[in-house]
Amino acid sequence: MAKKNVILLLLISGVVSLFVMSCAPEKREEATDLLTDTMITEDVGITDEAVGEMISSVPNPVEMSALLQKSDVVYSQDLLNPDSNIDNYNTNFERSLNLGVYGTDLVYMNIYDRTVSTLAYLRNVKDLADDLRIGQFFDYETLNRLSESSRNVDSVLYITNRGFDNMTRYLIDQNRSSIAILVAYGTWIESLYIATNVQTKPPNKDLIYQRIGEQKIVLDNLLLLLSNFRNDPNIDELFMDLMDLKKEFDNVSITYVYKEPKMKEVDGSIVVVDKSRSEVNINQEIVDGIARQVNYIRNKIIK
Amino acid sequence: MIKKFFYTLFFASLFGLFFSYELKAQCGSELTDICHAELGDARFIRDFPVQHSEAQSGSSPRVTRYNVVLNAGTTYRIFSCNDQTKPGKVIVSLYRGDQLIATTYDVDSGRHFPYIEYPVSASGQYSLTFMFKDGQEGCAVGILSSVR
Repeated sequence: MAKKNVILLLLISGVVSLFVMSCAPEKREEATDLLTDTMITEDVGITDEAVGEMISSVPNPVEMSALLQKSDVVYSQDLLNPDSNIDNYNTNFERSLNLGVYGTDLVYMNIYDRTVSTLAYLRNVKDLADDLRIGQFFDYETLNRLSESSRNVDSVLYITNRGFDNMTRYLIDQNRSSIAILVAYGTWIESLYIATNVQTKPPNKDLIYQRIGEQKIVLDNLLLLLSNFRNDPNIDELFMDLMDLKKEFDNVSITYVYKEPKMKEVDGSIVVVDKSRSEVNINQEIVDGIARQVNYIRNKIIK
Repeated sequence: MIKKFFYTLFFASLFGLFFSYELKAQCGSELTDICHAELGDARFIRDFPVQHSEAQSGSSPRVTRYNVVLNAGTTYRIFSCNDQTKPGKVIVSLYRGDQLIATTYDVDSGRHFPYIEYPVSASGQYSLTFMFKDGQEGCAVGILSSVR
């Protein structure tokens, strides 16, 4: 009798296990590309320290999204990479780029107080980071809880951005700089994609166009970073795409007038008074050219 | 006697573990969290943790540099916070090319300032450098934020 009960118990637990396994989220496939960096040795080469120094020049998407929001640009969900696209990303190359893309979308949604609808994007960021073995930098549970209220936007943005910063440093330390650079690439392209595709109106249109033009400086840094990893054919293709984008940015001119800055103490802190100026010369035609190439690159990334 | 020795060793190890945790506690993400609380109304953009060991006597203090692109029309605040368990006090300096824009340390008065506020009027590439006064051992974090 006891033996019969044991067999019955085993059968039930077997059926329950099978049921639970079938209900559990499908395990995402492991990828083996880009596990460690292989830089071009005959090139000038770049140290991890130099990568860390330069990668911080790729702007945080908070800055562009905050500018759009401050300029009364209407929020547009249609511009975001659909969350269901995550199933298309099966290599570390694709996952790194789209981690940057979804991270930027997440920031954009949060800046516009769309915290409640961020859940799927938060999940995607966590899943892609887990796939890349850097999931420890995204506290999904806390972010998920905080996202329930738009009062927590600042905390959500802080935890998200700090997570990306820590992840970048960790990747560089672990000799996985190429992944850090790809994430930065995805972040930057998505930010630029949103900025060049939103509906802008005067008088803030000029301000946004100027910010787009200023990305010329960032582009040069990204090209320099990528140039060290061009022995990977995928990265080489990204590099060439950016070179085409550079042709569009070459039409942007930035002029500077530098003056001697002065420091003064105000309430126990240092405030800088600087009369220097920069002027970005950009027009609708140039923005359209940049937008076309950005759309091309971005569509390749998210497909 | 042996029992007493092992008890002492056990509690000494526990104390050592706790103490070493306390020493490390501030350095890293926790220090960023502490510093973030100082931002007030400014919006966090990026953090720059720095940890240096004591400079060898006769050699220059180590300097860590980060490049940042700052945009005209934005007022940035660059905060710095020190791990109080380390002797070194961080000096943060902001450069445009080789030109010093501002620093958190006033050589004449020997004063350290908690942040630099910079209303940027010329967009471009700037760099932030971090070093510890007199090359002392130190751990600190710099935070780049924007004033809303």
